[in-house]
Amino acid sequence: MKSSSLTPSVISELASIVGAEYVLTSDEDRICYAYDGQRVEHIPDAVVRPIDADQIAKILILANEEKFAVVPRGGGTGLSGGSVALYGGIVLDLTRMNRILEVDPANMHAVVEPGVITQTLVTTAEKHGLLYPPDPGSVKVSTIGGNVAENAGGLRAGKYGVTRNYLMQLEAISPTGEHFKSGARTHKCVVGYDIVSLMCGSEGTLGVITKVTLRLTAMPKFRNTMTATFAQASEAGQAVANIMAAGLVPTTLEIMDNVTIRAIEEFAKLRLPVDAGAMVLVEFDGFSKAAVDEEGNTAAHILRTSGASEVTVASNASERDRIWQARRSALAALSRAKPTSILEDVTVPLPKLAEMIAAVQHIAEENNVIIGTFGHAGDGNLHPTVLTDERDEEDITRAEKAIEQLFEAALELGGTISGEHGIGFAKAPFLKHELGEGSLKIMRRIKRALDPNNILNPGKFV
Amino acid sequence: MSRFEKLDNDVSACMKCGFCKAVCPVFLEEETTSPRAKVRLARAVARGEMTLTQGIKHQMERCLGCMACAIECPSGVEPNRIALFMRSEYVVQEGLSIIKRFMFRRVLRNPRLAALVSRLLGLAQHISAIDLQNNPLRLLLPLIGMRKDKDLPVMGRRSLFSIVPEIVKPIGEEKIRVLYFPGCAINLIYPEMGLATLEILQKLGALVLIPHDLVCCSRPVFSSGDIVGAGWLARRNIEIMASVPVDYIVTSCGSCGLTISREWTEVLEIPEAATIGAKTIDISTFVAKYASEDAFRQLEGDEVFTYHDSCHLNRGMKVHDEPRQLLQAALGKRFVEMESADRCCGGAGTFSLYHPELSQEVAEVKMCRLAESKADIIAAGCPACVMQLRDSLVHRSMPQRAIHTVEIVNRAIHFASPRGY
Repeated sequence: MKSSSLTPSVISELASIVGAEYVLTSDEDRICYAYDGQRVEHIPDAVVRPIDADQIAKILILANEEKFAVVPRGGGTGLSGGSVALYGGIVLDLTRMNRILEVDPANMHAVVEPGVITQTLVTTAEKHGLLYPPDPGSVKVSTIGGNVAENAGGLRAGKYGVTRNYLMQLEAISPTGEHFKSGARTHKCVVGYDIVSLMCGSEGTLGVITKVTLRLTAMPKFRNTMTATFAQASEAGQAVANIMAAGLVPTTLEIMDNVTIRAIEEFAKLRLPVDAGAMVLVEFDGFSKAAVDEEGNTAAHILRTSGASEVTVASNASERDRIWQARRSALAALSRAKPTSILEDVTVPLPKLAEMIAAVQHIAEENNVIIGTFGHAGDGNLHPTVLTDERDEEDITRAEKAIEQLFEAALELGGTISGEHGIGFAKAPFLKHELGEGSLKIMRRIKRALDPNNILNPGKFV
Repeated sequence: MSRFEKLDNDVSACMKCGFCKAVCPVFLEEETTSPRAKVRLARAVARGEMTLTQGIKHQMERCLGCMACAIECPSGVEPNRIALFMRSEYVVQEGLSIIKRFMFRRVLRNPRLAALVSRLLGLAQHISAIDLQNNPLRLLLPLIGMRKDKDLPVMGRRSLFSIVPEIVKPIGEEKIRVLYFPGCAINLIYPEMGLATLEILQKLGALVLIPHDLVCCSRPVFSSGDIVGAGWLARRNIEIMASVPVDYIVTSCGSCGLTISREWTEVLEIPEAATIGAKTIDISTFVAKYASEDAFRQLEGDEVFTYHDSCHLNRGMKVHDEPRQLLQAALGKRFVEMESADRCCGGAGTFSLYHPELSQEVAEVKMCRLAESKADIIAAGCPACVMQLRDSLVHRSMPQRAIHTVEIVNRAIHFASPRGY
């Protein structure tokens, strides 16, 4: 293993900022901060664990003097390499900054530090009868800082939106070590450039988030959940588009293809229709039972007229739990089928969903790889999961080729290569296909203006 | 397949999603302390990126074996077992310390010697009066890995084996024949838990065999990485168990039960253990299965009880509902559930000796939830949990008490004709 390239004097300066026990330089520690939730790893030169914004500012000033890279990291569950130290330097572990500073039910907001685990915020908000809706799959281990930096989505995005929709105010440290603040603790604010939105999804390239004020919303009281079975996956895709076109706003609208259904059944034994081409899962929530029932009835009717062979409405909580248990096991079940699973998140406009699903199937056949597809169909976001074995070079090459074709297909349909996982370095080479040279130039100029020495998270998307 | 190839295979399934971090009691923010990191470090060794360093050893020893990560893992990886495997690699490389060697390969192999060591410890405990919290000798406890205020169980009492004969007849007609495996903690430290278990079995019409030459189940031995030593103990027990025809092997220790029912086969890879493993049953499951409903009378009193899931009983043996049903039957409304009942108490057998402070850090959550539950007494199905719970209560000067589930069930169950043999 390559030893740290930071000089002892830099290490000791870092130690004087955060305390020696919070600077980790052993091989064991460095290797454990080399990864996130995707495949490719890079070993950092050191890990530094600050406790407040002032320490972060000092670290960044030192980094600019000594020219080493700083890579912010929360739970390390990202799926695009956002917190992987591609060019070495230090990983800035923000998990010690994990206080919920304020929950204000009157203004419906919460103020948190970046290292707060998303689930902890959700649970705390619930105690006040409030909902923090963004629920990425990693909600129990990911941090708010990471969610903001990646603009995390989740199962409820169709109705409630993504992390960006819940940001009121941010405090952060710029790449050169200055404190700054943007937004307000109000439900409206148009003062200055919208730096809050710029920071959201910037993957730690433009600043280190140190405090976040998040909007909370009222907790809905009723739910109506149903499943529908289709012979063909593309029929299911069309049904989803029909539901959305009818003006319905489901909280969650999920799709699972045959590969996924069979994997789940194998793993969890939930009596799923293993011969079905696809299943669609729909849930409505709201404050009036009559309203969610009516929405449910309309959706059930649309599903039937769109060719569903069976539509089942959950009549009680345990039936509903069974449905969501199936969906929640999707990734687990697929990942057990082969040693390596690569989870993508291409997203297309709703009317193109059926075409995208067909394209995924075609790409899988053409490259002779297994791809299980599930995802948040209600917002056009699919999770084609390529199953492979990273130790088999030939296998992984075919998988990579298939992934490239998935991106191309999504772009051809007017979609995007990433709906919620971010670009990191895993998808960086494809960025210009989607955005074009002009947009990249603007992004590079912003990056250079804020971070002249390219200190913060170098190698990520620009 | 070589040992490292198999390890490589096991760790390859890890997608590094990090979900294990949400449930691991010894994950303390720093990634290196997480189950995911243990898997990654094992991979580093399996693929030759790193050697068996002391840093990796430290992380592998920092595992309670509570199995929470294995249950949570979407990909079926078992970080706890990977840590076990790695510990065994260190034993292969470094050998065992003299004390461990003496304990694992001599004392635990010989029930008489084990009883003698226990008596000697008891004598030392008695003479030194070390149980008194203000005894200055307690300053020496940290030298042997214990906290100064450690609640020391009374050692050197008469062992269960010395109290009960090898065959205990049922009250009334013999309905079923079982072998009772008390395990070291119950045999040597808490014989009253063994007596309660035996009385329950007698009342349910079971003829109970308690071979006095049974040895340690091997859990503390393989848990310290001594697979060879553990294998010896398991085989010795199997030999004894196989020689007596019984319907069940009953345990009242979650760790012994899990070791016999699964680990002899799955960790020690002894194929002959499979039939014995399949016959192994926890006492609470046995009672739930064979006691008729009218066998219980509700106990009188005002104390409120709650239940703590032993990790090995709950996640290992999948015994979750039965102890609760029994406590409900014995206590009615005086039984309440606590939050985080299934979270590890931090005892984890010898873990509390090797990591006294971390062990209490883990116990903190349990103690807070216990206080919130308003229960006066916490019951558990494993003597090691009871020991840790008692120590944690003493450490915090809390008024609650900890006991074994069988001690409640035995009082509530009266002699009645059992059902359905």
